[in-house]
This record gives sequence, structure tokens and C-alpha cells, in this order.
Amino acid sequence: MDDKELDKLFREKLGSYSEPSEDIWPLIEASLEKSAVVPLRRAKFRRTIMTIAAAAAVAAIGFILWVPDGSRSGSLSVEEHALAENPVLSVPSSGERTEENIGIADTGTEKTGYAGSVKKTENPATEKTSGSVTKKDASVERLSDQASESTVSEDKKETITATGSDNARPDKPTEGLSDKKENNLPERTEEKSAGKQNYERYFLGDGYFAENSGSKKGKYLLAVSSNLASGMDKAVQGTSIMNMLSSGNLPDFTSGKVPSVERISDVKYSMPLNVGVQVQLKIDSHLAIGLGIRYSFLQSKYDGLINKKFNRVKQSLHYIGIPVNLYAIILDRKNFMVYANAGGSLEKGLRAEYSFQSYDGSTHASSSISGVSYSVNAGLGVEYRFVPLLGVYLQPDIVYYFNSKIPASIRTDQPFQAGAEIGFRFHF
Amino acid sequence: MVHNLLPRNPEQMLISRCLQNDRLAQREMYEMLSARMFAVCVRYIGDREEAKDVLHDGFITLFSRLESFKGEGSFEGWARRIFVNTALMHLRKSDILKHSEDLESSAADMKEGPSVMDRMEAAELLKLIARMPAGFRTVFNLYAIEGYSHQEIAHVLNISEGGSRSQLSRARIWLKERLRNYQ
Repeated sequence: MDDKELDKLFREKLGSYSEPSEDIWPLIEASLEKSAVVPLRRAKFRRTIMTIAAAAAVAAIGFILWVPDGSRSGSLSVEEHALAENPVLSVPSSGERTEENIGIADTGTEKTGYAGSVKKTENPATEKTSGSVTKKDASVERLSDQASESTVSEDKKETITATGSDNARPDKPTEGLSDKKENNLPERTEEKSAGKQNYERYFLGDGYFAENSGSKKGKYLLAVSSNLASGMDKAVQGTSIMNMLSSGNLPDFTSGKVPSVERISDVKYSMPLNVGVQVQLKIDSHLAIGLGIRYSFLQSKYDGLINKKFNRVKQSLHYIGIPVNLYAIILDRKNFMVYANAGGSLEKGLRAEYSFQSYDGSTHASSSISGVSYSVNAGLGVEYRFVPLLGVYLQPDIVYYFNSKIPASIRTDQPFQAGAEIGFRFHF
Repeated sequence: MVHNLLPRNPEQMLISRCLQNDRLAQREMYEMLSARMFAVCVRYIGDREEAKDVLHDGFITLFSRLESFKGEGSFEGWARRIFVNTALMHLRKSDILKHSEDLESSAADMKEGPSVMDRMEAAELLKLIARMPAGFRTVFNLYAIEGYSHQEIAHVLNISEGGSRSQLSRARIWLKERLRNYQ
């Protein structure tokens, strides 16, 4: 028998041979139970993290959707009252100026739609002129109606809905001051809404938005990131100029009331800052879903005149949001991974803060931000894992912001944005 | 692994249940594979008691790596490779492969015809292989029964191809010698 026959014989006889043995299943089962303890602990830990994340997300969603808007009731802060009592625009006391206003309204862009939100100041000193103002208001209103309907009506809608107030406002600007005086809270609500809206509309945010994203290799992933979005230093050219007419009364800085502002420069936006945390759950070897909480900070500046005095105005907006993303792994290697992601975000404004700096002092104001904003995003990312449990990622992406009830900003001016984010991912 | 929408056969269903840590399914898989895999362990280890240890370790490894089975090829073939590797790791730890028995007799062709081999039952052949020196036994198992090439054997055992050929040649001589004595 040669070697090949020898090999063949052993292969045929022993290739699929079965040799009964003593039953060792109990030993195997015990070992399996032992090795299952560690994964069980990991599973419990993951469940705990997911439960916390889900609870935090529910709480954040609840806060975003149900937190009462301060403008709806008499819960205005001192600063908000100041805004309500001193709206951005003052009604011209002369017919000529009324025409000017009309002219501006006619040229109206969405910014100039403010003409539809002309309001009378609630100032006793102007009571005398209120009668004529009333007449002019009526003419203003009629002429405004003749202007671009879409512009004015849109503006009116925006004015009305910006702060979520249900009270009709600009429809009856002919109401006398006495009426306004008697109707305290509802009137204030209306005026504050318009005033705030006008303030808000002049603050345009540019730039990039930090997003948190997490990409993961493990089943669960904790991502902490901040947005260093690619520069979008855009100074937005404002087209509406608030016409301020001197009523003869000087602004009362000591009471904290905010006077009306005439913007005289372009608006410039600082780099938005977004910080958050996300937890990602692996669906299968190529897909994962991420849920997180994100804080966003937007800031903008411009120069304006307050009662003909130069002021540097700064707006700061604070948002909290819940991003949800789906991740698809494109390439997965030992130390790096390439992936694609798509998703959306739900955001609620927490607070809007304003500061006015002049040569002889500064004042501050703040208000709540009504409404909820939505956005969708998509991007590509790459992660490098320099240690088994920690990686760094870079994720360029594009975002589209839906113009819901949010203050005017770059998100409303340029709803389609491009940016990138970087951050760390913890794998566990 | 078995993430597809096609109807699954009983084997795939068993594998899926095992992946869910279903102890009954795992016991069922043990019953299905243990006899054949024990034979593999005895072929490589020789000693039955040590082969039981290898069998135990092999099943632990199989259940922990079950997720990596892609459904390509025979599941039993995949399981066999796990047990072979487990046996080889056991042999490496014992440094058994470093010791080889000197052949007392020179290489000679077996003069007995195939009828001798045919008369031998598989169990006897298994016992014969189990008595073979570890180095010979390992290379012979990998080459003649598992179908590895000398290049692959050299890579797996971290030896040279020449060393693999030499061990195989010696294994055959050893077997022929013992078979001659079987008569």
C-alpha cells in the first residue's frame, strides 16, 4: 500500500467516525453559566444606560412640547414687560412719516413686513397724538393691505404666531390708548408679541450648528461631541429698518425698560456652540440608531441707535434639542470606520437674552422663546479608534431647518446648512 | 449569520436558538456533535481523558463563536475546525509537538495488502493513531484526514514545510510498522 492509499484509508474510516464519550454536558453547562454572568452584567449596564437615556429623552420631549410659553399668560418677567410696554416700533406722529412707513412697507421683504405690526406706544405723553395716530393707523392699515399681501399677511401671521399668542393684534391698531390701558394683560401680550417679534426678526444667526453624533462599533455607544462647524461667518444684510420717531421722551434705562432700536449695521453671527450626549443602539452588524440630548447656543450682534444714541446690541439664544439618527456602517476596519447617517432633531428654545451697550452704560433684557423647531440632517463620518474603548470622529453633514415658530435667525434665512462636527465616542 | 428572509432549515433554527442562549438547544447541539467531535479530539490528543478536556473547551469555544458562522458551507465542517484548533492549542500548551519519537525501524513500504486495513475497524484505527507520537499524529491528522497542505500545516504549527513533510513521512512509516504487526 502506498502512501496515498494509506492516507485514503484513514480518511475514509476516521473522517466522519463517531466515538462515544462520557457525558460532559453538565460541565459544559456550568461553564456556560459562568461565562454568561459577565455578558449579563454588561447587558444590565446597557439596559440601565438605555433606560436613563430614554427617560431623559422623554423628559426633554415633554419639556419641549409642553413647557408653557411665558407670553401666553401673566407670567412675564420684568424685562418682558419692558419689551411689551416699549415695542420696537413707534407709530409716527405725523402723516408724512406715516407715508414713509407705508413706503417702507411697500418695499417690504419679510423683514419689512413689520409695517403690519405697527403699534402705538403705551406712553401717556403721546396720548394727545393718539387720536391722529389712530386715524393714521387706519390709513396705514389700509395702505398696508394694498401692499404685497403675502408680505404683510405673512408678517402679520408671523407677528401673531411668533410668541404663540392667540390674541389678534394688528387687526385693530386703531384702538385708542384708553382701550389699551383698560385691557392690560391681553394688550400687553399683543404688543409684547409684536415687539419681541420685531426684536427677534432682526437677529439673524449664521453658521453652523453643533450636533452630537455618535458612531459606534460596539453594541452601545456613548458619544460626546461639540460642533466646530465649518465657518459660516455670515453677516446678514438686514433690509428692514425700524423707523424710530422721537416722541420727546427719553428712554428710561433705570427702570430696565428696553427702548426701541434702529439697526444701522449688518448682523454678524458668532460660531454656534452645540454640546450633547448620545447613546447608540446597534440594530445589526451594519445599522444602529442613536438618541441624544443637545444644547445649542447661538449668538449674534449688530449696531443700532436707541433714541439716536449708538448701542451695540447682542442676542444670545439657548436651545435644547433631541437628535435622532440612523447610522449605516460603510467600511469597518480594525481601527477606523466609515459610516453614513441621517436623521432629524426636535428643538425647543429655552431663553433669548439681549444686551445693549452704549458709551455710558449697558442694559439687558431677556425673554422666552416660543415654538418648537424641526430639522433633518444627513452626512458621512469617519471614526478612528486609538484605544479599544475610545475613538475620535469627524462627520461632515448637511442640515435643513424647517421654518417653524422660531426667532428669525440664519436658520430661517438659510434653512439649508452645511457643516461638520467632531467628537469622542466611548464604546462599551 | 442567519439573518435572511428565506425559510430556515432545522439546523439554522437550532443555531438561532443556541444564539439566544437556549440551554435546551445547546444541549441538543451537544448531543448532535459530541460523538464525532470527541473522535476528532482523540485523534489529535491521544489520551481520552485529555480529549474530554479538549471536547469541553471546544464546545465552549463553539458556543461563544457561533455568531461568526456565516452559513457558508457545512456547519459540521465549521465545528470540526473549531475542535481541531482547540486540540492544537492544547498540544501547543503541552509542548508535545516539540518532542518526536525516533523511529526504530527504517522506512519501508508496507507489504501487507489492503485487506489488512479493511479488516480493521475505525475504532482500532483510532486507537492506533492515538498511540502515535504527538508530532507524527498531528501532521498526519492535518494532512491525511483534514486535507491541509504542508504550507498550511507549517503555518498552523509554526514549523517549516520541510519539517511538515518529514513528520508526515515518519508518521506513515510508524503506521505501516504497526499495521504490519497487526496481523
